[in-house]
Amino acid sequence: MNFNRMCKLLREKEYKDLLFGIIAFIFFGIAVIQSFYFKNAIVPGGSTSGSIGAEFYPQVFCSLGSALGLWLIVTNVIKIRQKKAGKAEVTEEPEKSRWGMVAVSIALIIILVFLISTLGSIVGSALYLFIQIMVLTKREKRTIKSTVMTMLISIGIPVLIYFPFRYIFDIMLPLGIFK
Amino acid sequence: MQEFFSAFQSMLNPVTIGFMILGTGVGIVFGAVPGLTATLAIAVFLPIVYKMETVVGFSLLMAVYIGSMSGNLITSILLGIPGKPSSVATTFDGGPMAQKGEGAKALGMAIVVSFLATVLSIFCLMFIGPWLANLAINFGPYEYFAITSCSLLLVSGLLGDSLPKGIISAIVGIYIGMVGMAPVDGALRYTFGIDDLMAGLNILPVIMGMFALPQLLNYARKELVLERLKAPKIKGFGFTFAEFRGQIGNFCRSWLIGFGIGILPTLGAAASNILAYAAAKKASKYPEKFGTGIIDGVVAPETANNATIGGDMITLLALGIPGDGVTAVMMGAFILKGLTLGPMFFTKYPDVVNVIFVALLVACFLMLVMEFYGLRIFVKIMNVPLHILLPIVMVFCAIGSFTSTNTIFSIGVFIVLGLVSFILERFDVPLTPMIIGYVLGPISETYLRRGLQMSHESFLPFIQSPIAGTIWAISILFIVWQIVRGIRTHMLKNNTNQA
Repeated sequence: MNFNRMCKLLREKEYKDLLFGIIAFIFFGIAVIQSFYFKNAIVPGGSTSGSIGAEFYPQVFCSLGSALGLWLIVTNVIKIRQKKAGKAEVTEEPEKSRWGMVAVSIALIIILVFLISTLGSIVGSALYLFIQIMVLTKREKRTIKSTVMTMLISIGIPVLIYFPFRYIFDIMLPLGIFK
Repeated sequence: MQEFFSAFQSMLNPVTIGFMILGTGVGIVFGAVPGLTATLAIAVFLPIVYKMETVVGFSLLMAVYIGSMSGNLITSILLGIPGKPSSVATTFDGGPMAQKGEGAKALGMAIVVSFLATVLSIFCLMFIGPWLANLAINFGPYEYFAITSCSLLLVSGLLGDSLPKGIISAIVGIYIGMVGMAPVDGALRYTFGIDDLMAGLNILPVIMGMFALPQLLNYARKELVLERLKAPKIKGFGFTFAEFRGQIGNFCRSWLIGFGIGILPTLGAAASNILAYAAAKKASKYPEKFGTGIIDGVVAPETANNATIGGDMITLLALGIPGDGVTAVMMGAFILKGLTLGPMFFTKYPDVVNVIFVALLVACFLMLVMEFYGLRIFVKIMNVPLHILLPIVMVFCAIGSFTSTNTIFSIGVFIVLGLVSFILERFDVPLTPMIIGYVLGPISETYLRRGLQMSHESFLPFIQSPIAGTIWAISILFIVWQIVRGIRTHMLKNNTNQA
């Protein structure tokens, strides 16, 4: 099965729910196993208070989560088999999604963390804002005027956020290069 | 009554009123712009409220809440698109009215009924809230465990189109709430050896991550193209006294529906506006006109979705149970300030209670004035493209997340939770159960463990208690009904396909 076919299949509800069921089953299954290794912080090395301790709630809910994941797997496998045995596959027109834009936005927001920690909240936020707004702006609307406006907004907004936070609410924000 | 007036006096200063005007205005913008939400509005202001003095902070929060709950009527009527689930039904007649050139009438009536419905529901909150709190004072851990767990169950079951996915969403929220030290014995859970996780995940980056980042990523994925809005000129109120008098019956019925639904946990303005519209259509002498642009179709949903405010606040303040995503996030403000919601809230913090009542009422008046006279300004702000607004909100949220623990780690939490929420949305998993699971999960666990300590680890008292047993019975019946309804719908679908 190639990547494109997999992406096409994942647009169908049954395959999406099947994948979600698999993820939920594995994730919560691991969480249940981890719960057997919880140690009591107040009585180190000892069991938690009584026979029902800190592991009870995680075990109950994560087991339920895992069971529901399994339920989704089973019901969707049945639905897929019924669908295949029934009529021919209906090829839907795929909705147009800009996944590249999503990936770039995720990368930018991760970079924002490093920008704030190294350059400070004002410079880091300004750089992020400028790049993110330009990335989201349609190509035909990226004129000199809009670029200048974006630059002004990118500098103005972090400054407008910094001063009230620092001097009215008395919250220290990372200074970065202004230390 | 004396405390009410002294709370009113304490708020009568330029700083508090100034912040309330700001909060109401920003709330209206967040409520109106598709892509921004009331939940996000409150989440964005949480770091500021946290650092403010209590009176000013809660006044600001209530102003944002009122503004954001009523702002959605502007886009519903002028653009004919809802933007929020709580204003879906307003578009059915509000949009056509604007197209027919009756936008001013629709807006004027919607603003006035929103104001009246909210004020009435707040007065009910002021009287019913303390009464319910008195009733709930006798509740012990068995009853509270039943209330919190059943609320979780109902939220998971009634929101979204899939019961298993709704419950999994709630469990994800509970899992996030379990990170860190367990209640009662302090055992470390799911910290993966990371020291920053020992104290658990702070509520600020969790809430902001859950609601802010997915908005940006959804916009990046599918750009939302909106027409430019034009504000119609409203002369007077926009409608005649005779038109208003003709809507009194509709208003009363819709208000009762909205308030009643608001009191029930899980259902909120998203359900009340549609139910009220359907009821108005059924009771109308001219049901065939609904959907063509009649004022009845605007009055019903706008009355109901604002009437839920008082009902939602009653369960939040008196029982400590958030009724929907918005109140769940608002609960975060109380948690940050170290205020425990529930029946003792009214007796332990009467000054805060009265500040909340007064702030809600003042915010209603501010909302009325601002929406009538500031409509052109709001429409101008709403015309600011989302590709500029959303990154600004991101920066605000990232910095707000930082302020929760003064560490960069919190911004990381904001990003991770945001990505998790975005991925869950891609799988059509509702997010409201997740936030309610995060807020109620630790509370319900604490009650469970306290109850088990009292009962020497027996589970029987949890169902033997009459109140707890009744709550469990009602909730389980509700869920069974939901399952049966799902099976019947599935069978009906299969029969239709075979035919």
